[in-house]
Amino acid sequence: MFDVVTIGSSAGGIDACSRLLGMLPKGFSWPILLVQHLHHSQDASIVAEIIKARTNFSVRAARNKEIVLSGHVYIAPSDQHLVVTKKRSLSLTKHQKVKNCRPSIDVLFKSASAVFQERIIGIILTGANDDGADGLMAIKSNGGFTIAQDPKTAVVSHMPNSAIKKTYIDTVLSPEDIGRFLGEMWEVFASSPITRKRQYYDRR
Amino acid sequence: MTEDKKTVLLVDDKAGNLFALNIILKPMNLKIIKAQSGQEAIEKLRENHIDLILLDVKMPVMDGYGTATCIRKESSLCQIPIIFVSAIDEDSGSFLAENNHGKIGYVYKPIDDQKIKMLIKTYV
Repeated sequence: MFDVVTIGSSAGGIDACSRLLGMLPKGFSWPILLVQHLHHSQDASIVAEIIKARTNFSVRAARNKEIVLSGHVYIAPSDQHLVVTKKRSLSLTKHQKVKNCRPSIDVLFKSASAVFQERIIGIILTGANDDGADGLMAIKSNGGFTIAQDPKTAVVSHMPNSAIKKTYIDTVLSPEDIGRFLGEMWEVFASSPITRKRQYYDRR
Repeated sequence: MTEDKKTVLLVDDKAGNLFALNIILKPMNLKIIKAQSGQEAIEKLRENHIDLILLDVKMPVMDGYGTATCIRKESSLCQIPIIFVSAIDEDSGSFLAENNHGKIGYVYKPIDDQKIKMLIKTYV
C-alpha cells in the first residue's frame, strides 16, 4: 500500500529522527527520504552517521540520480533540494530557496507526492518555520497518509503546528510513537513477497 | 430507510494495524468501527449492529481467541462472522476445536488485500 516514507525536520530534528527511526522493526523495508534543515556548511554525511549509530538502517546522504532502494534512509545534502523524479530516482538541485530553505521539505514532499500519489507517507517533525506544511497538504490531496509530531513533544513546535493548521493530519504522535506506528502499518502491508518485489524500483 | 452499508468491527490493540486495515477496506464502502481490546470489542458489539468482525489474535489481557470465545457465548452475537488476523505462526488449534460452528475465516499478516476483500465479500 505504501512505497515510500518522507520525513521533514528542522531545529531539534536530528534527535527526533533518531528516536523515530530507532523504533522501526528490523526488516522495515519502506525506503525513507529525509530533509533535515542544515546550515550550508554542515555535512549531511555526519548527520547520517549520527542517525545510523542509533538505528538498524543504512543511512547516508542522497546522491544525484540514484535509485531508491528498500531498507535505506536517504538524507538531503546541505544546500541542495532533494527531488523525486518521474522515474522514481533522486535528483539534487540548486534551484532557488523555498521558504528560505534549501533543502526544502515542501520540494521533497511535493515531488514525491506527484510521483507516488496515494502510496506515500509524509511526516513533519520539530522545527521553527512552516516549511513542509504545503508539501504535506499536497500529500494529503493526492490520497497519501500524513503524520505530524505532537507539538508538545517537539523542541520547536512551530513546524508541526503549521502543518496541523494547514491540512488534515491522519495522526499526531511523539517521535517514538511515530516509529512504532510505522512499524505496525508495515507489519500489516509490506513484507509480502509481492510488495517486496515492488520495492526495487526501476531496474530497467 | 434501510442502511445498505455493512458494518465491520476492527479489533486490534495496535493503532498502526487499525489504520492500515482501514486503508485496505476504504474502497469497500463499509462502515468501520474500531476497538483496541477484546473488552472494548464486546462493548461495541453490544452497542452496535455489526455484520462482521476482523479480530487480531495477538492482544494483551484477552487475546483474539479469548475474545471470540466470549462472543460465541452470547446468543445475540454468536452468529456474527469472525475473520482472525494473525501472524502465520500463531496457533489456532484449541479455539477451532471448541468452536466448530459459525463463520470463521483467517488472514495472515502481511495481509493480502485481495484475499481479505474476497473473504469480507463472502461474509457480508
